[in-house]
Amino acid sequence: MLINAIRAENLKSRHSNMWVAVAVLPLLTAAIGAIIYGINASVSLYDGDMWQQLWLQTGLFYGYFFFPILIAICASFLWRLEHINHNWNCLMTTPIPQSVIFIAKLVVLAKSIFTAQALLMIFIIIVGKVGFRFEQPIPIGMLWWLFMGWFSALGVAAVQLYLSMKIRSFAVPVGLAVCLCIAGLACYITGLGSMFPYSQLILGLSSQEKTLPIDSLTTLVPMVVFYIVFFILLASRRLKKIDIVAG
Amino acid sequence: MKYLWLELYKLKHRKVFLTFLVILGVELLFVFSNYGNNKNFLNMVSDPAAPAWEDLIIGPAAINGLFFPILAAVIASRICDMEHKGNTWKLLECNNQNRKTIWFCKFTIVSTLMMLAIFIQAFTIIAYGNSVGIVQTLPVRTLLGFVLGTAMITFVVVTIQVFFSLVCTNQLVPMSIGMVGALIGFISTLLPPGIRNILIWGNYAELMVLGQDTSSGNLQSSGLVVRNINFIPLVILFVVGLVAYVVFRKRFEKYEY
Repeated sequence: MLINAIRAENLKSRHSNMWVAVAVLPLLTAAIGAIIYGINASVSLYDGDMWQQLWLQTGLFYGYFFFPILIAICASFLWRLEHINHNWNCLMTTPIPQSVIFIAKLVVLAKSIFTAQALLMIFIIIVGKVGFRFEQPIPIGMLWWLFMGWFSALGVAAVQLYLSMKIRSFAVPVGLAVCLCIAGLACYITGLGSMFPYSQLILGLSSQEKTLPIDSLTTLVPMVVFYIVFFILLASRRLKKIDIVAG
Repeated sequence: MKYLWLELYKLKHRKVFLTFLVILGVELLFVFSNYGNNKNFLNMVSDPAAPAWEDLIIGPAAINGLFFPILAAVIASRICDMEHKGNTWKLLECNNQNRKTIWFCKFTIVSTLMMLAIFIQAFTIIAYGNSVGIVQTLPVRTLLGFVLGTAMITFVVVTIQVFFSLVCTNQLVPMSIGMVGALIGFISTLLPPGIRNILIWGNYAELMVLGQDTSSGNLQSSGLVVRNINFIPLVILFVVGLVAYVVFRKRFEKYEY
């Protein structure tokens, strides 16, 4: 049942503009990261681990603000299809549990997040190897940046999907995402990074860590899982109890 | 004027102003909550020769590049999306409201809200500065320059957002443009002047009226230098924005829904 629901969601998002946004943000992020790295490298501020420095320049603001905003836009897009043309009626009369509807959308969102992360890593490798001709080998830590960045973003994805489901506007959840990013930054600065989804994302990307924060796995992973499960339950409850306004 | 009131009537219960106030409030809270812990700023407060007011102005100036494109995108999308969702274009035209009026009403509301945001920022700067007791005289010209410069860049940003929100049924497009604009706007202080001036949103960095004194070649210098706002790229951008305004309006007038 879940597989069929995921297939249906995949079909809905096929050939959509969402994938353009998913490709453009990593491309721009990598380009801007390269420019900043280039400016700083020319005045010899950096030596040592070049890949880490490039990732710092690229991933810093990406994790703080732009990755959550991209997730918010994709989440809004996935629910937008249901908010228009009376599609709620159609969706709610399909013989599948409400939680499956939400999980299927979460899976598609997770796929788009992973695509964005994978593209960013590819662009970083191109910038490093082709643009700056790094002689250092591609670090194994890049797999952490890719997978933990993706995994920690799933908490944000669950929150944004819930907000986009609840709020019928496309833009408002995106605006809220910007505000929540600020809250996430505040949590990260005060050391409560693993407690709030938007700061979990910063921890997961670990663009500011010299060494990989493996110790944080014990708190980060359970908290991300908690937020995913919590928002799935919250969304299912809402879909079961609240009468949907179709329009 | 009648159509403008009708447009405002349509916004009733849509929580556009609430959204606007929440985003702006978070921005101001984020900016001004840092000053209380900033020792450099607190040292400047009691020194009449120190650029404490300029230091206050660069707070919003640095973060506007992130918030304003998103704020403009959210408001424009919210105001225009209701017409797409309700498919009201033909209905509006049947009610003697031509495309020119629709464009004017939508643009006026978004730009008025954005201007309000700029004035609230200027007012907050003055109120905060007075509350902490800055002894330096308020640099009125610099503050007016900040307001004017922000308004000039925001005019172009609003023009882009309103146009794309009106012509794109799928609001993913204008929101993505807002996101890209925010990315460029936020990073622009780190980009060289030539590059950031070409990028529309990058011009927010021109409003940084205070910078590091790197004249001795020391990039880690903690010395501060007051800078005048370079209005040349802003005026060029504003003129291009005026042309874009006319072109976009004409495109919208001929657009088939």
